[in-house]
Amino acid sequence: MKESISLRNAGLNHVDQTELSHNLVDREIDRTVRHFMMQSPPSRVYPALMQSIRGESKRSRNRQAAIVPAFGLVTAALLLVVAFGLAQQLAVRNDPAAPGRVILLLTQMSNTGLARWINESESVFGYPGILFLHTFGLAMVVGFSIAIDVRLLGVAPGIPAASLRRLFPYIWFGFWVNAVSGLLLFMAGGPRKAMNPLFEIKLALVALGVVAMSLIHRQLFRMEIQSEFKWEDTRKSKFLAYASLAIWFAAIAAGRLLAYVHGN
Amino acid sequence: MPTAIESRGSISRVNDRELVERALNGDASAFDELVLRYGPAAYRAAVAALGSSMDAEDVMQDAFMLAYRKLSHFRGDASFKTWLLTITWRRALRRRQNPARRLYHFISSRDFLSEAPGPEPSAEHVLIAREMQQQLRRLIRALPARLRDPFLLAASGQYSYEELSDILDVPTGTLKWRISQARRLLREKLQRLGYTPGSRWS
Repeated sequence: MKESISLRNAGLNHVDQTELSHNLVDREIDRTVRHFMMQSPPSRVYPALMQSIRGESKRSRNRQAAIVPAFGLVTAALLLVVAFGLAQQLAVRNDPAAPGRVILLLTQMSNTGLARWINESESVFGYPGILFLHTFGLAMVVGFSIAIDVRLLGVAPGIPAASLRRLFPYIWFGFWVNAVSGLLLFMAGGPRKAMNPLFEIKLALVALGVVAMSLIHRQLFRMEIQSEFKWEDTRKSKFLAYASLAIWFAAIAAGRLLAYVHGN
Repeated sequence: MPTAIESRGSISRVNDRELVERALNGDASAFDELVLRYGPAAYRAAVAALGSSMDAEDVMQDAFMLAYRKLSHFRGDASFKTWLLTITWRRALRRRQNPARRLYHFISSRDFLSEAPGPEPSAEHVLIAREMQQQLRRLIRALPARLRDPFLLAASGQYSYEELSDILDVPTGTLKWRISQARRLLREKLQRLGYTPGSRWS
């Protein structure tokens, strides 16, 4: 009996010793690895990093401030080219013997399967659906633009004008919904629309609206990074806001009249 | 730029969320404070992933630049520290997987954590201790990444288990198991090499 107990004790001692040994090794591993990991970045890293961040901040702001108007101006230029091209065709539209190349292209476009489906399909996703998207896009672009314009003219002074810059992604989203749906509608009724001078006027007005929008965006951006600069009080901001209101008013009027006033 | 470090004073008492707000409103010194606060943690996370201080320096800078660019995306669901360290960890992993970097390390045959100093041994055990540290570096490198990463991150003493669980995207229980598993493997291999207390141990 005694012997078995002493044997058990010996076993326990062995287990204890093994455990102790494991603990010691573990502790030494932890100590060494902790030392490996107790490194700090060299002090030269901080000033370099802070300088890069300041540089990045200026660069990205300048880039953003430049990209938006540039993008708007390119879009406006494209719209103007289309409007000008169509207007040129008006000069030859009464000469059936020599229809302009653009008119021929538009006629071909309106005979494609997609254009015919838009015109003839009874599906709600056909003409009515696309017209709905066009109106929805218009509401986003003009609705948000007018909200910004009236703020710049002094309405709701409690809202920081610079914060309205956050509306621009929605405006551009609406613009592209409008552009794509407009292109589809134009495919469906191209030659007829192109014959109407109101269409060219509408395109030119939309181009001007995009320019005004881009300029306002740039000014809001400047205001955001120079918070002490009360840009909304300046004459320039009010001029842009009035111009934007007038342009969108005229563009909507031209677009609506297009449905009721027919060209020659 | 040193002025930013010298003039910490009152800003060092501002909480992270407010510093982020200030940085978003164009206050560069607010982001400087975040860099000073979490620079070491980000650096150590990168060291844990890459085992090289030079790589870690690059990754740390890269992560802070990215965090600055994406600051408006920080929603505050997690702490700024966790958000930053998740970015750092992802950047570090991307660098670790870069084939060009792997090739460079293969050719140069540099040890994992080779620039990391170990604890100072007593004079009579210098050689043994250095040898043991060298073996330990080699064994750590040989560990599978899923065990090595949490083990080294935990050893850096910069993160709680919850933070590590967020950064590595593993449950806390699994994390603890992996850390103890890594330690067990290291212990067994060291003992097999003859490093046992009372023998060659320093």
